[in-house]
Amino acid sequence: MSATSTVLRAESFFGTLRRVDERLETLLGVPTYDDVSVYRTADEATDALAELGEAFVAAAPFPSQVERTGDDLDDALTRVLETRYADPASTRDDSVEALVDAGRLEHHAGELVVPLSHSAPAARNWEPTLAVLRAVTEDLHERAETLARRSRAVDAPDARVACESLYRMLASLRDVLVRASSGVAFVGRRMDRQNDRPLSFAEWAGGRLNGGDNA
Amino acid sequence: MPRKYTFETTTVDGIDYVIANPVNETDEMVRLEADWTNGDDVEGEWERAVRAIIKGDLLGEMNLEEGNGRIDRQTAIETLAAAEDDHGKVVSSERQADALLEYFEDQEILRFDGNDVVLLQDPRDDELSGRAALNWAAGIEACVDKIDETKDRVKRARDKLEDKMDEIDTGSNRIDERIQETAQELKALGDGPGVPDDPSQLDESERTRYQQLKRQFIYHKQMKEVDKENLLETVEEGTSELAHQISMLNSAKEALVTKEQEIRVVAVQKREFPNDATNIVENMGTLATKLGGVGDIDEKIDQTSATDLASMVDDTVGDVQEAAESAQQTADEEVETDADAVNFEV
Repeated sequence: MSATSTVLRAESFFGTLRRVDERLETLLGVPTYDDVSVYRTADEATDALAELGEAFVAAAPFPSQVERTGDDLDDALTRVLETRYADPASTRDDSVEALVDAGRLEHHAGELVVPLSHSAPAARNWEPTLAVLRAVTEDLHERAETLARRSRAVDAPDARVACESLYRMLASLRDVLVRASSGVAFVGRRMDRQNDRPLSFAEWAGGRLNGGDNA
Repeated sequence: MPRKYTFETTTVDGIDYVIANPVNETDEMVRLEADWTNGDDVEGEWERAVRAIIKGDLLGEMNLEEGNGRIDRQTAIETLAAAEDDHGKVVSSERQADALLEYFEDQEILRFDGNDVVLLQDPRDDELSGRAALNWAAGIEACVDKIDETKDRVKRARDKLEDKMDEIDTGSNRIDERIQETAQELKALGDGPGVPDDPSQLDESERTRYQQLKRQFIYHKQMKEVDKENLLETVEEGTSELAHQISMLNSAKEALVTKEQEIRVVAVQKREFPNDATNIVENMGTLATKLGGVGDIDEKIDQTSATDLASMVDDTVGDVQEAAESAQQTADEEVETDADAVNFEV
């Protein structure tokens, strides 16, 4: 199992972002920004992001999203990932067994993990993982923007600087993830476009000649 | 639609012509070269005109419902009059195109149906003439030409992407700005003009700030690095994928050319389509659509900034992939499905 233990997991990214998420929630609820706890909490969040930066550098480049076709398991994995971001202990999903069979989920030291590798089948986990990371980060970024705006309105320079820094760091993370996960959006758009296109020739030729064979 | 012309042959200076005499006496007479209808069992001179119309309208005006490959007669006339191939203009005017189409009808090369010209007739039709059957071969040739054009575009796109690799560093402007901003804030600390050499000389609050900014500076630099590595990976993957697709298009093209010859022989001699050629008829329309979907990718790459390059590559590779797979399907070639292995190798 030593090979498995070196494989990166989606959970490690999630753990870091959840720390940021919790700090943001706290900061958005504080009654006043003129308090040293505000500054400390924001600093903890930027510290978590700095860790994520290290992890990203170690993992880069993420496997290219070019020409990757999605399957049913991608949707199932996306669902599992979304649930697990909200609740790390959650293993309840009808498709867990199928995902384990397909090598997309692994049992590791009694825990269920989403491995991220550069070779199949776990390489396929990157796309749904990046999509969920992107969605989470876009939400965090939006909330950090609210936070930064509020902090500008009060006379608390330390808190303001810390909140602005957090906002900017999330912006860079979002920029990276938007590009890295662009394949997801583009596959979807391509499908939409195809549906709009009349394929009358194909339909016609298929209809006329199916089973015909000019008997 | 009533006939507009009656046809008679004549010889001038040793060259055979067909004279199209207008039924309506106010119209003008049209002279056509008689060798338009020359042909042996496997190829006809008229195919040049048929091919020009099919090629010009394969992606657009050709109406393929109700059992036959048809096109509005006026549209066919305009397409034919505007068409140019390797030998130059196919006909000299719309009037000549009009007369030529009617002459082809007279010679059972095509049919008229109301205001439509039926260029591709149902191969199962008992009344399908040997000449009309050859139009299908001309249709395949038009497809092969489109594949060639697409292949050239894809090649140019691949070359341009390779060139783009060198300028990719400019790709993440917003992250660059944040790096610069953080650097400015670092420089603002302490008394000197630059970043403080010795943070231990700073007072406590500045020292804390220094540590925070340094952490952020490193973080934004890391994000930039990750972004760049990902983009390079995508472009690299994209260029190798395009190279693979070029070879797919090429082998499909060669297979189609072979099958086209088969059709010529079997369609004319036995008045039927070879069994494996029905595959071509079934898929040719999809192929034409997919080839059209590839579009001006090489020019688009020129206009794409590094910021949008990943999406661009993704889109391009997807469109070409569809065309290449459709080409292989049409040619009844095995579609290679080792894409996963190619992509996921470390």
